[in-house]
Amino acid sequence: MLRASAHQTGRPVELSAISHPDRDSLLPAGRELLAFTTALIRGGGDLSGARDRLCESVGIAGAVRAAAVAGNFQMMNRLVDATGVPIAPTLRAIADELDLGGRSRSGALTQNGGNTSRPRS
Amino acid sequence: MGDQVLDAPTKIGDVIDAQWRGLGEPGTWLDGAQRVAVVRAARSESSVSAAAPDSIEDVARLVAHRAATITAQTVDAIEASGIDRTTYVEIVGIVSRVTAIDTFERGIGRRPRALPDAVDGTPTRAMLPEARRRAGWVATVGAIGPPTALSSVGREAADQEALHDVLYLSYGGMSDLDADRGLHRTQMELVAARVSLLNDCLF
Repeated sequence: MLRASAHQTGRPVELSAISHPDRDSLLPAGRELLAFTTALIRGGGDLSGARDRLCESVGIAGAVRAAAVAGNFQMMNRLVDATGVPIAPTLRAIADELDLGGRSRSGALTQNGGNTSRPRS
Repeated sequence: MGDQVLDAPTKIGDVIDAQWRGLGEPGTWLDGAQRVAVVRAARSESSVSAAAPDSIEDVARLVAHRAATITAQTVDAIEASGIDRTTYVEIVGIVSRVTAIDTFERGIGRRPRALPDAVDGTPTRAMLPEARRRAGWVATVGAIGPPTALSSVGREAADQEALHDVLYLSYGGMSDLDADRGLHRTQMELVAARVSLLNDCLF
């Protein structure tokens, strides 16, 4: 959806920043959004500081929306993983683009020979 | 700003408040006390193995903390332990929403909410005969996908959709690639992608 939205609206985006947040995503406040999201999901870091810097970049409404979107995808990740929603084969290319080739996730990045992993659509 | 709590829009706050109260009410397959136990377990830091979860609390911890390790065999084992798949769906729905709400509120600087009060009453046991297994590991009304993954338990599906709407976009609104809700759609998707990567979720 990120690539589709960027393409549709003529905004440049560097997708590798998703897996390498030290890189420039080319999106406004990209570094602050990634730093806030990482601190929020991983915990143990300076979430308060990341929130402050995000507010300075996108305003309070933007920071609240970032927290809301993060919360939503915490929900969505769990429900698709727990119910076996099929992963489209096209995600393999996206995974490669995001440098996720080394990840092993119950068959998500490999061909499944009718095994018990997530079914492919 | 220090530890200032950011104000949540009224619409988000109202939905979350209502859903939090609802977590303690009798559900479709779990009573109020059981639903609160699921909430408590989802927030617990206890480790859990995907090998043999055999209680609603174990299942809650698994979904909360290790959802990426769940396989079809895991769900089979859960069912074999006596937790049928529609109860499992209810647990998945509760845990997913609790995680969303806790994450959002932590993100805006709030402390975790107190557990909801357990309300007496009987679960509805509302079966949906049109729900059936297709692809995926649980029955759904229609093809399985993010909007329908919880559809065998109508209340959980409705609550999940309502939360999705206020936190992110309505399902109908997802076709608007130029949406702006405080952040532009591209910025929202950047956050979404980073969360999914950190959760080891490729979807």
